[in-house]
Amino acid sequence: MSTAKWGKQQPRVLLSVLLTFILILMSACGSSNGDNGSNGNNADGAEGAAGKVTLTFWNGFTGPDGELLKTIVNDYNKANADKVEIKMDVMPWDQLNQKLPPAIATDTAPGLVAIIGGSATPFIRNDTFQDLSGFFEATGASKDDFKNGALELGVKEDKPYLLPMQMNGLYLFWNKTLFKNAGLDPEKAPATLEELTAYAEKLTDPAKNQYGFGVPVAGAAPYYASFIIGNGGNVVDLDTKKSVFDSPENTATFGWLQDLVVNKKVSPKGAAGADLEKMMMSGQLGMYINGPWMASGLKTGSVDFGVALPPKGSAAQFTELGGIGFAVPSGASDAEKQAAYDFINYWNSPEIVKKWSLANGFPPYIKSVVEDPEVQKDPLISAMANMGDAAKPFLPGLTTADRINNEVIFTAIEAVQNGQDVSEVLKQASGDIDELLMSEK
Amino acid sequence: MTNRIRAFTKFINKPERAAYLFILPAMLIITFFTLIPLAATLGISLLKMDVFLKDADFNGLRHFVRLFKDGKFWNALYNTGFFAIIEVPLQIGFSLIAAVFVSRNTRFRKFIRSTLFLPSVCSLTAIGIMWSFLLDPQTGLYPQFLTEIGLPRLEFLRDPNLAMPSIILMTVWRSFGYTMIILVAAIQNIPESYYEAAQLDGAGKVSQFFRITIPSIIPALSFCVITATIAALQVFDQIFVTTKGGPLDKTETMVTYIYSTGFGTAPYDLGYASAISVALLLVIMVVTLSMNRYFLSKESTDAH
Amino acid sequence: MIKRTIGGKALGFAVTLLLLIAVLHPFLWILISSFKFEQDLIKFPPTFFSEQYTFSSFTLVWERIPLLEFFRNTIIFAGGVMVLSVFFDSMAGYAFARIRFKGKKTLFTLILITMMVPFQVLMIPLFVEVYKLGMLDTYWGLIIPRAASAFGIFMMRSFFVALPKDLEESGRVDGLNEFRIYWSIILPLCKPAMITLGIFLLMNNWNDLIYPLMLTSSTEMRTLSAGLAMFVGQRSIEYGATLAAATLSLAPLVVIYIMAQKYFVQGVATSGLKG
Repeated sequence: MSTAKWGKQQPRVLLSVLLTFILILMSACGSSNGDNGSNGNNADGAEGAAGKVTLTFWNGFTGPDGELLKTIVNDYNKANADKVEIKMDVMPWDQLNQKLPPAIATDTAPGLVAIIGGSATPFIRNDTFQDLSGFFEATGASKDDFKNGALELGVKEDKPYLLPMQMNGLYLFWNKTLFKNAGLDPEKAPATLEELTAYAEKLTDPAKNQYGFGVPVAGAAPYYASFIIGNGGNVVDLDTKKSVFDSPENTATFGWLQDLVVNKKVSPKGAAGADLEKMMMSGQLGMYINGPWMASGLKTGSVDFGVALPPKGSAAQFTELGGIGFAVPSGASDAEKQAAYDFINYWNSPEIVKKWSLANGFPPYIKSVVEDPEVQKDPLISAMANMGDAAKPFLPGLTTADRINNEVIFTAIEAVQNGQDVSEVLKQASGDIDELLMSEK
Repeated sequence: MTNRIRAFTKFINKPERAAYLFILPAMLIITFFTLIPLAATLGISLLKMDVFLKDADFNGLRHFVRLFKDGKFWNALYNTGFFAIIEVPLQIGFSLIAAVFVSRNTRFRKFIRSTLFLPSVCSLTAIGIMWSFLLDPQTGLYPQFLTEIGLPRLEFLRDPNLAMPSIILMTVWRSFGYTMIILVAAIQNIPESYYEAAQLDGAGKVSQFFRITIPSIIPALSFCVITATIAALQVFDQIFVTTKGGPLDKTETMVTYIYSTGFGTAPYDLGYASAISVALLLVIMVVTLSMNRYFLSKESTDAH
Repeated sequence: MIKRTIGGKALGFAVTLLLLIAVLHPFLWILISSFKFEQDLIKFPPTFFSEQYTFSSFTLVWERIPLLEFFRNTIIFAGGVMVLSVFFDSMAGYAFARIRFKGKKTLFTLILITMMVPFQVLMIPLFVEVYKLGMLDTYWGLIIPRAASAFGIFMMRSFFVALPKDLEESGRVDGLNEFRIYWSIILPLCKPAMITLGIFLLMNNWNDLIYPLMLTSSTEMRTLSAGLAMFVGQRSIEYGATLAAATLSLAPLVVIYIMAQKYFVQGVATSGLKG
């Protein structure tokens, strides 16, 4: 046999496909190298010839609110065309949290990031974010314009490391139609836990696959804090960094939650936050505690709903104050930091705060905006904005706060929903918390 | 110059020398981008270190001691083993049967082949969202269907006893087409003459399957079993998008545990996560290398 | 062929039909649902079909993400990985399957071991490495770390091993060099295996989210899977849009797969090497 004969049998089709791919690849790579020069990661502050700063901005606004953010950033870029250009990179929060640490370690982090308050603690404790106390002097902004708590999103030794981008509490949402059908006053939210229980029972109708009140076991905001702290209990003693989770107060609270799900069956068992949100939107759930983001979903589902603070416990009224803050990673240059300050200041101008708040349904945290007639006229936003003293951060300054909430509190809820003995569960959970707290010392 | 090339060509034309050239590019890439990071992981498992790659202290074997006392680790190991022991035989069994049926190239069978492969093409994010939707006790089609035919409204992904079986079925649904395609390609490589010879001997379909098909595809089959086992022991995505390890940690597997320890929530404990990965690596190594040894011995006895 | 009764045929047909339904119905659901209104998607009781349909989810996807750019990036990344990896993997697989050489067992075991570590763990060292090589945020930085895969080498090896012995001998008698033997004799016999591997590599990389996300740092370099994630917000999922985006990212893979089907020829049987 000759080589020519073998040559004939070559997979010609395959070969041509391969060649085409390689050609596409080559040309694409060639051109990409061209544009990559401008959009690469500029840890050292890409200052162009005209002294223009390119500021890379990572955030996790993947949903519909990301669209509004894009418009605001574009407006800002247009207004500052000769000074600053903000380049946004949007990715899911999960991925952002995963990408940021190695990016900081290799000095490829952006000049500005938005980060959820709870996720920021390890960065702040590790000195991988910059101290932003210079913001007020650099921009002339006044601390007094901000509402209580807005500047305490991420603090170390009384210095702010996060500046507010969006703040929220947790609220009780209720379905007015279901209230009416159950013979309840559709305009009145339950004010105490007793009322909550009574309403939930009335709203539950197994025949219609309808439930009174959602008790999630995962993937939800830390809303059990409302009941734990509301009933005079707590999770961690912040001074000694020791768990106080298996207190008699908490045993009562979790016993009540167990009774709600196991005996009164007002919530589907084992449902995660997303499941309950879906039920709320399809009108199968009477009441649910969630953040302001719930409102847009309820509007899409054409649900007639009301918003109020979570009901008062036996000791106090409490709602978790959380938010998303701006941070400047440690590798950012001074020029980038100044540009970041300028953008943060723009973002926190009354005009933008009002725009963001009205469009997204998040409560404003700038005093003048809270009193703005247009904001006060919006029943949802004004209800959320007037949180008084009830809104406070939950487990502030603890690196393990998220973990305690996700891995211990929700797990405990899940266990009591499955009928396990409450005091046993809390004892176990308390041990787990102490173990997690070991890393805090 | 040409002389040198010729000398080189001559030198390299010995098969055993050419072999090194053949594996060179792949080895370079794998060494650089997998073996070195792997070595780094081994190193990190001995350090006390977070994802910021800062403040690394030598920690000795303390992470491994901690593993032994860590109830969550044993739970994850148990769940992972359970998953693999049930899922792999199901996946291989189904795909083998399907592969024999669709391996012939008629138009109809080609169509079925493409169809059965379809789930494997999908992204796991999409599949996860889709199945959470279909299995949701309130808004899902399956529970609704069950109630309509008078059965209880099963809570597939929320019931501690049903969650893992549901995920296993989901995985089989997604992966068996994938294995099937490999087996089909292997079956098509069996020379027709083998079957003709067997038919002359009067062998029936079933005996042909066991006497010719199975022995001829041992390499492909071993490949499928081993890779499916490795994939099963590393199960992550489908759990991450549906149950996130719940309910009651019943679907927490090794990799979901590694993820939540090192990357999911603060304080990102990279050192301990690496130690768990090393443990996982050892488990997978013991299982798959012994499988590989078994199959290699099969290969040499059954080779024709 | 053994004759089959009509009853047996009908049974086979029924089983096939059931299997097809079991496999296909979720896709039908996803396709139909991507045309539903958001409120119909979450209503109770759930239904397979809806009374009204809309294109709005698709328009939303189109408006929200630079779809064409994402497509281009995905094709370059996944296609590049596919081409290079099939080539390198089949070369290595060939050597491991059909040539005796020193250190073969050790090297092969080493390759197997690399499959055993979950990617999540290797991610951070890999990121640091790609950064040191200055390849972050480039196509090559995405393609080269994946240009050979243990999975592919293992798979190709298992095909080459199964080929009849002494195939190479005829080539050696003809005086072909080792590369010619591999390229002209062995490869044409393994088209089904190569196409199969190619499809696997293509779809794995096509659907991969975390790897391309880690190694790129600008929206311009993102792939489709990152686009898909754009509709799953932290607190809310836009179900309709997610399903529409899933449909859009799925469609090209299905088309490629169906096209590649044509080349799934009967390897050895048709290549004239039977005797």
